[in-house]
Amino acid sequence: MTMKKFAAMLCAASMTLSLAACGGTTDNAASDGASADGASSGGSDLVIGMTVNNAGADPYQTAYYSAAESYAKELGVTLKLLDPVGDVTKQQNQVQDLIGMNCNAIVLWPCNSEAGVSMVKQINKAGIPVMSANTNVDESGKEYLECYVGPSNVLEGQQTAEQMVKDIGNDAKILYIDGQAGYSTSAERLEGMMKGIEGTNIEVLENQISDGNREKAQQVMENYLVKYPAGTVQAVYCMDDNIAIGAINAMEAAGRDDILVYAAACGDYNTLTYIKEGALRATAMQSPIIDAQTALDYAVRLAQGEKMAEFDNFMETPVATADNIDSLNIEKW
Amino acid sequence: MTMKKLKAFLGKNTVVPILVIILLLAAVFVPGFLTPRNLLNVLNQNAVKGIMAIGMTFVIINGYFDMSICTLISLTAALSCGLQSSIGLVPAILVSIAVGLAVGAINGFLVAKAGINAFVVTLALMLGCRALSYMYSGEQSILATNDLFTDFGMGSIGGLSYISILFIVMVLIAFYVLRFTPHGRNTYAVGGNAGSAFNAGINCVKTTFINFVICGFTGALGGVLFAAQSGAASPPLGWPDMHMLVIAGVVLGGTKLTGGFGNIWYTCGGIIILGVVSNMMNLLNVQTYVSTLVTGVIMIGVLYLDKVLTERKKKAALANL
Repeated sequence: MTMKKFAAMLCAASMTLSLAACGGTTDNAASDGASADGASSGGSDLVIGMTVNNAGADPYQTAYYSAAESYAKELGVTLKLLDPVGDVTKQQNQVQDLIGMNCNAIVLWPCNSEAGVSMVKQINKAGIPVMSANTNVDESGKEYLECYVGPSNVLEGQQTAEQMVKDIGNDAKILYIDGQAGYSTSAERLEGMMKGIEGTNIEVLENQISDGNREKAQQVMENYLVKYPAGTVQAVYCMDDNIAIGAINAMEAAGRDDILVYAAACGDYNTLTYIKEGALRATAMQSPIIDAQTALDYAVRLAQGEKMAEFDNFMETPVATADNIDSLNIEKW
Repeated sequence: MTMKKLKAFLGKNTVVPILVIILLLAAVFVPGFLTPRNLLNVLNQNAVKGIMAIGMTFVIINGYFDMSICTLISLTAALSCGLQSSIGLVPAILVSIAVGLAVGAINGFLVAKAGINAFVVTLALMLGCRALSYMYSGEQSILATNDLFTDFGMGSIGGLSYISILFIVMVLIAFYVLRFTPHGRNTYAVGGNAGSAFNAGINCVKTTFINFVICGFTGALGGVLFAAQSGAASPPLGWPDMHMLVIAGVVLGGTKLTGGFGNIWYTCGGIIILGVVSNMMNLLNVQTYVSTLVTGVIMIGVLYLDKVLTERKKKAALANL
């Protein structure tokens, strides 16, 4: 009888032990690797804490996560990279853990802009410089932040719109397919497009939402195609590449090629094939690798005690077309 | 003699040796774990979950479980944030709590009085609360406008957050209610064997109803506190697994899902184990999904151990006959 109990105890203990030990070794390996690299690149012992929104949720975020990890090794800094899997309460806990780990700087990609405010407030209170990455926290949290690093949705929208104006000229009619209602990125990209077509006679005939969903976007485009026969509209401008592919599918199904398709920004590597074919005329390339690397660069500068002159620091999002896509040298993600 | 007593104590309170083992492992393998600041941090991080687990403990000892708190917290968080600018902070919190009580009462009525399966009832309310939460908030996050509210959520005395203090007070109250009041004793009786409890003259319907209302109350309070902590209510708060984590904490502590056995200290232990594991994994910079996996493995290990020990006791009891 006691044997059985003993065995069970042993079993449970060894299970937990082995797991903890396995966690321990990976940590040692990581820190060893970092310190070895650090020694070669000037011996920095900076610790950067980072909690991202939801790695694994979509290809962009997954690529961002791994790019940050490998770039930290390259820079020779210790990166404490945590993933709250999109859960605000988990992120809150992770922020507290990061504060406890004595990070030199913390990077927050908030799961939720509003809930991010109290997190940056806490980090700021603890005396650690904090910056937001990719998605900014709500306006009321700005005072606690050192800076924001990530894409500018307005700029992306504007750049692509300017390219569109080059293609279709000043007197044209276009359609717009929006993303999700109430989603800040959608609103900002629309604002950017309007800026891009300012001063021209381009008229936006219609704007419908697609919920950021490819199938829904295809339906919206099908309706547009019925409503606007060939020759009445020159271009359709989409909130992102996913929506644009929906629109392209609808045009292919209807056998139409009189409307040019644009996407404000592209975060999916697979979209490159559509650009090369010319089906997607132009889009601002938002590479998660550049996004993560830019964020880490700024975090290291913050950790070294530097103050940023500008609050908004936008990553590069070059406009890609069939002509220049090869010269942009976009790294695969 | 004392050794025997200790053995008996550990055999009965399996959560204690498990917690000790995990704490020892953490102290040895995780640098920076065993500092007063981090230990308080673990308590502060898990206080809200702990408060929700208190209500869940009542329901589970009663022999049921409540999944509706998963989205109830999102609803009450949204209400407490959204209403505070229009009707004031205290009324907003009271409305949120009232909603929780109402949800608990509906759960309790349908399970205890109408006799519908608790899984189905609480699942239905979980979906209902999610819909209401999204409808109320319009799928947008709501910022808390009252500074007092967020100050309470983030404030602390000597490293111990106000919410942790509230948690400790509520644990003591729950301990008193379960141990020393007729309602507490009735809860154990109904959970252990509803038939005999009924024959002994206990009002099973009333007992179950009250316990679901308690769970609704702590769930609603949990939502309000989450909102206070983060200064905002986001619609997906708690979705999709908050109720599971809370139930996991209760069960990990040693309270039996079949009802009639358990206490509030078990729940505290279970919640702390979950919290320590997640904190350990964060400190070790391990991927979140690994941490979830470890939690699952520990749970199976603990429940297996528990089962073995209970079987052994049963056989020993039979042998003594």
